Amino acid sequence: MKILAKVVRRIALTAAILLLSAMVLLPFVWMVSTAFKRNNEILVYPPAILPESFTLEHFRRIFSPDGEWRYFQNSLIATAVSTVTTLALAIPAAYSLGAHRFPRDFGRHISVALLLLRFLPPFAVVIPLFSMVRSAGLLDSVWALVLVYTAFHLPLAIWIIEPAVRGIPREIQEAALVDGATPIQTMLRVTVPLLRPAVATAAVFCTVFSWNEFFFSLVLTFDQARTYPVLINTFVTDAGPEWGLIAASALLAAIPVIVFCVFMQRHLIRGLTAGSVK
Amino acid sequence: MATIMAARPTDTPEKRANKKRRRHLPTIYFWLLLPAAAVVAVFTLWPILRTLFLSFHELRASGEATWTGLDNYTRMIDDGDFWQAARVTVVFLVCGVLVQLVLAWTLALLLENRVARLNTVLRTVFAIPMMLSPVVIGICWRALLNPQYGWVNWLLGTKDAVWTGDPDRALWVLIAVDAWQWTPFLFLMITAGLVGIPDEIIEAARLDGAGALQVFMRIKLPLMLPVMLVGILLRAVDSTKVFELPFNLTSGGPGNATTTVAIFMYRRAFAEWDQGYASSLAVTIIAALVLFAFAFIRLLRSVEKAVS
Repeated sequence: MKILAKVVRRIALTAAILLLSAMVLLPFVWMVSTAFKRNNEILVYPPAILPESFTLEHFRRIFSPDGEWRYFQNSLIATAVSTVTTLALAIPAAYSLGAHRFPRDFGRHISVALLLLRFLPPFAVVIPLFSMVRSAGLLDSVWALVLVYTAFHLPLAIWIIEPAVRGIPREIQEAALVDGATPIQTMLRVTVPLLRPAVATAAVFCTVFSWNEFFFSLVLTFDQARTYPVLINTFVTDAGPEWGLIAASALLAAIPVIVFCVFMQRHLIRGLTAGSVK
Repeated sequence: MATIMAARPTDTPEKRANKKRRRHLPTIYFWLLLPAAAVVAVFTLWPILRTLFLSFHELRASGEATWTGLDNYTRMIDDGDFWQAARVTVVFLVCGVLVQLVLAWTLALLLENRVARLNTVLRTVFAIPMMLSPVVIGICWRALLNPQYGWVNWLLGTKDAVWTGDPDRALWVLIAVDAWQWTPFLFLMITAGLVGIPDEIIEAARLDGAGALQVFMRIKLPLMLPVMLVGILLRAVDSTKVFELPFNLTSGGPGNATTTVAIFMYRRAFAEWDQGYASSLAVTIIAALVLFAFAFIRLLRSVEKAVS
């Protein structure tokens, strides 16, 4: 009896896990299946999971000379540039907050302010930002998005990197300073190499958040600088959504995120400080 | 050339002294911090103050702002659509977080013994929905929930059942899809915490005759309370500003059944160009958010004290 109960429990548990995984994966299955279907196969009931005639027509349209690929390009530029500028600003700031004790607890106040800003809803600042961008003549420009993304992801990046700076044993940095290195040399040659896992984590988060960003792109761009999330939204037309194109674009958008998730898993686990103090 | 060469040795001690002095001054750290602080100040702090300023004004299309005092705020009190949006957001927040908590706990307890084994694969698979764009998720579920040819009706055998098009159902569908995306977040937080509970404590309780339910109620739940509260706070803050998911899943409809405060504010600001009023909405939401967060953090502090 006991063995039977155990078997039943194990089967139930496995079934639960399978059901769960199926639920998690359902939209992905839909995406992959629909992206390779011809339009006349998509709107049928009951739906077929495997496409009857495997087609690349949706991808071909996206990558055609005047296709939707340019919106992905905008996303790529905004993401890449804003991630680089965010890190270029966040690393010195995090180093300064983590390695130096400012008078009158100034550093701690800044850290708390940054933490609060991390939770700032975009709609709280969007109206003045829109006016600023308009008067700078940057409406419908990728550079406006780069600026806004950088400002919005800076607090997060500093909050990821700063604890790692604190985690580096003081002796290492002091040794460098005693040996005659300036604080900047210490930062570049000693601290930053040890920060690689934290910087990588910050980079992944900035990349994914900029890649997925929708609200600012919706407000600050109209056509030329539009990014892919707004593109996917505009596919839902009055004539009925173009599901084939939506699925193909969604798949193109999801692949880098999935790759990053797998990549990040490795980075979070790896600690680099372990071997540096002997 | 010669003069420069000659001048060099006399310069060096002075330069060295300069360098030494500079090294002891803290200013260099200030300069390292300044660029980031400036960017944040210009693109987030200043706009916040400007939003506050605009909330007391009427903003013309020409960009001219006229002082209207508290008009925008009194208008908000009488605006039924605003209260509807507020109600939608509160229901979404409270029910959404509750659903996610219950689901996450159920999963965490169900998978407790397997998590260690499936660790990396399971965690990666679960992390993917959280990292995906809410736009992609909203649109995909919109397709899956389509009454005529959606996969959900096909899988459930409920052909022609209306999900996102039914005003009574749309909000619950939205909560369900949000739970699909964010339950893994709480689940991963809870499992990480559960692994941290020493086995000896649970062993000791078992030996004293405690059943599974008692172990859960008396040991796991109280010990996990601080972790859970942090998770709840993060989810609550995110739920307050939810925009992308309803905007893409239901477009805020049918009617205004899923119009959250963020969508409501966006429409006032960028469809009707009523930006003074929209600013006062933003200020109100932020004020509510800050009050809620402070109350919550106080609660968290007292719970942490009680546990330790």
